[in-house]
Amino acid sequence: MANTETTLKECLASIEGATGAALVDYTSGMALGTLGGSKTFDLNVAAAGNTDVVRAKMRTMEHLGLKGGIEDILITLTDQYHLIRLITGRGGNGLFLYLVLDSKRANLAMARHQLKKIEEELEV
Amino acid sequence: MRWRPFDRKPFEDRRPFEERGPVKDREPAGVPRPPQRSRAERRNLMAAEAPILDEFRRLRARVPQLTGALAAGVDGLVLAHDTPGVEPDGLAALTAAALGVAVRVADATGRGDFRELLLRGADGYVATYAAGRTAVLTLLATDGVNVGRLHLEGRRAGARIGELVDAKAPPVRRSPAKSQTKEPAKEPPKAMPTRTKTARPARTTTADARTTTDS
Repeated sequence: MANTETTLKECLASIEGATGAALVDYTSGMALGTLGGSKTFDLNVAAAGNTDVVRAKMRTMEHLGLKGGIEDILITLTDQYHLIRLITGRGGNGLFLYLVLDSKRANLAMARHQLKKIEEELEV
Repeated sequence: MRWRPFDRKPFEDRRPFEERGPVKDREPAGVPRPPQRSRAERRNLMAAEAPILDEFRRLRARVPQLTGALAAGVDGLVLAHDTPGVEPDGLAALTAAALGVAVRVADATGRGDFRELLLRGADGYVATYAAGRTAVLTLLATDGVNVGRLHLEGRRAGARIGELVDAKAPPVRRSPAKSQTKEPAKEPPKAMPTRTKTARPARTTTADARTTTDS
């Protein structure tokens, strides 16, 4: 079991190419914790924006009548990957982990696998 | 009418304390001080209304869950409003009252100048952001709003409205000897530097509540 801080630290330390991570409450759009990022990459702005992404996807699935839940969302930019992983169970409902990867250094499959492991360990 | 000595104020309640009525009858507590601006100052501020309404339209486009927006002076005067279903003058007066309390709380706990105030009710949010030195921006939003985004947009809009209002309005006259020599763009002095135990007049903070917008 890991708390928010150690989870975010683990994201940056153990996932190759990770440059920023945030734990976000998508009911409010505010980040419970952020790590990494830079002056030009404000993770709180990313948290608010990606909350809209998650909400839009959920609404779309509802309109389509899909029963399943979102496991993760991958956004591919020219030089970055953004991974959104929704947290399930143990009071983590309504939260997602947001991970920014440098696409030159990151291994997408590995990052996704590790993020899943880290998410399973998280206790809020 | 009976003659009164000059040193006696005509409306002073001279009854013993126990015999006076309840406090609410004696003093309209919580009612903000009436507007302090001159007509010319008011006209200047009203000139900022159109660009502020433009700002509100942009805000609504960016945050669809917004149900109302209001820009008001820290003294409770409405500068611009777009609040369907909510009475703007009342909201501006209440905002000024809440702001007065917020500034004093921030001051008493050493939190510096006022920046924002967030209230969550069962059915939505009311957020107040500092807008320059003399104004605040109050936003009403539904319960489903993305608060992170509300903060981002509210702070930005507050800063922009602050620029508009500060450009139009002369600096608030607090201590005339000082404020006329100083440039308005300079860092504002601390709102209330030292706290004393002496009773101060109840509503002094509403009109000269200082705010900052930089985040």
